[in-house]
Amino acid sequence: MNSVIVTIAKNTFVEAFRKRIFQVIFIFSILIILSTQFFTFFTFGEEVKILKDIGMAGITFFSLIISLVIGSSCIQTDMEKKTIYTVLSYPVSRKEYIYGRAAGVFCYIIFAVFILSMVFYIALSVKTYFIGQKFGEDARFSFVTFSHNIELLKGVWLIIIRCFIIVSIALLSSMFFQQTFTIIVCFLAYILGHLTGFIANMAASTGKIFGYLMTGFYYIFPNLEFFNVSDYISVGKHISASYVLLVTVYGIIYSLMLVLITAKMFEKKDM
Amino acid sequence: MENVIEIKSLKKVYRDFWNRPKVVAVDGLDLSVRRGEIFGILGPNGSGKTTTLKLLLGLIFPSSGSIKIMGVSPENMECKKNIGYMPEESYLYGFLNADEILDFYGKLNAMPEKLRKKRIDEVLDLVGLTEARKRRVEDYSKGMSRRIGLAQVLLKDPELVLLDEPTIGLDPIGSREIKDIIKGLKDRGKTVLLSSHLLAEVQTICDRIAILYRGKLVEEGRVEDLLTVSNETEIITSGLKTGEVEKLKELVNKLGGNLISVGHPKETLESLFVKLIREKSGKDS
Repeated sequence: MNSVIVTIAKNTFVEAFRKRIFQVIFIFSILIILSTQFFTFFTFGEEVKILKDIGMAGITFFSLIISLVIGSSCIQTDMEKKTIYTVLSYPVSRKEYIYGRAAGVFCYIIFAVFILSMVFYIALSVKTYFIGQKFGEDARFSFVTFSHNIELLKGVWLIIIRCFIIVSIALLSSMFFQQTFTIIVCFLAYILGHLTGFIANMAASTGKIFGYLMTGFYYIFPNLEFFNVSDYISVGKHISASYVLLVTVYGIIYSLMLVLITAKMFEKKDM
Repeated sequence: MENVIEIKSLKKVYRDFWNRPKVVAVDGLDLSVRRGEIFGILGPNGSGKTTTLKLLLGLIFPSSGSIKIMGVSPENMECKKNIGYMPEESYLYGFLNADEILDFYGKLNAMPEKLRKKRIDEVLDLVGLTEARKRRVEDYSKGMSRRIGLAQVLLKDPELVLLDEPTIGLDPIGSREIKDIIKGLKDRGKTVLLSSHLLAEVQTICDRIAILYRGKLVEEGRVEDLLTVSNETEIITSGLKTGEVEKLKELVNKLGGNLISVGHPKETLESLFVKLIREKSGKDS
């Protein structure tokens, strides 16, 4: 792999790792996930379901926050603080810079979601251990089986892919807007991305021009509902491997397309 | 002598969101910088100095005209290996320490690991940051930030060094040290282009200068030529007594000249300050 891209990606990762804002978000999210230990319900089934719901929602929410902040700031801050001047005065093409930045952010997202998931998994294991003590070992094993773990892993993986899309939107948006507006754009894209089914229905049921417009939106905006499998996981439903693969391919192609467009736009940008 | 930088009819127009012309930052600039010289770009704020440097680095694109650095476009990657740039403020990654910053930039310049490590030690020693090498750059003082910025430039030992206000924010000692480093670069055959609005600084170190005003070239030439008052003659003597000075006046009048002033030459405030501080620090140590 291109050594310049690797160098910039590593630097991006270290930046995210060391910046106080990410550390605060990270620690806060870990505390929230750990706090689920203190929820107590009467039946063991309820306790574990609530723990899974809150845990997955916590990982989804905080990974989204991390993606928004890091995606909207990594290029924008370099331009505002003019660090980009020194970087581009070296033999670094603008494309390499964008690819390096994107790769670094993607790696950090994987790292952050992995850590959050580990915390969640440990919290889940501790909870089920106490369930075992309270309701018997059979009850414990009914929740911590191999298939349960695999389903959790699939859900976490799809959260990561969804974050990739959000980060890519943030990178592209930061070519045009300041950080605050970029975050707003990403947030809107996130909401619209979860409403694509509704948009498709509107496209089918409204008049010609508005219908075409809605169809356009439907194809332009990413369908983020594809990645929302937390509900299935919390009730113990099976998610097929082919579905995960298909959605992964969709998410990665969508993200790469946005990164390529960002690099293309960045090539002609005055600093 | 070979030209390292050649700028022809360069124009840069900044445009607004609707692509309407907003500001003409550089307007029909013609300039050439020769190998091995220290060239200064002077001008008040908004005269186009920084824009010219940005154009030379390929950070922005010319609206018209051409730029050649060592015969090629500023966007050429091989050419960038031989250009060092220190911006007006040291815009470096504050979350890294000096060692990490230089390692990062060394990698970007494709320097082999062994050479990189050797050069990092050398340049940190040269700019006096060896002891602070493990401190994060965000904790550096302004003077230290300028030094690490300069270290980043020296690391790749470039043929052409572009410096934007190199001594701004430095105390006189730090400023003198940076100027000595710049002169050292010239002695090693490097070409230096610096932009500044500190005229005394430019006068002491530059071979040639260009003065810009509202994006246009107002004057260009050797510092000595531009500052020489050709219809006056300066005589500096030593060992004359007061009465003998009167005789000198008479002689000048006799020769048809007009003695404008007689007095004792003065040191610059900078040289006095540097001398005193160095004497004091010598005594203390």
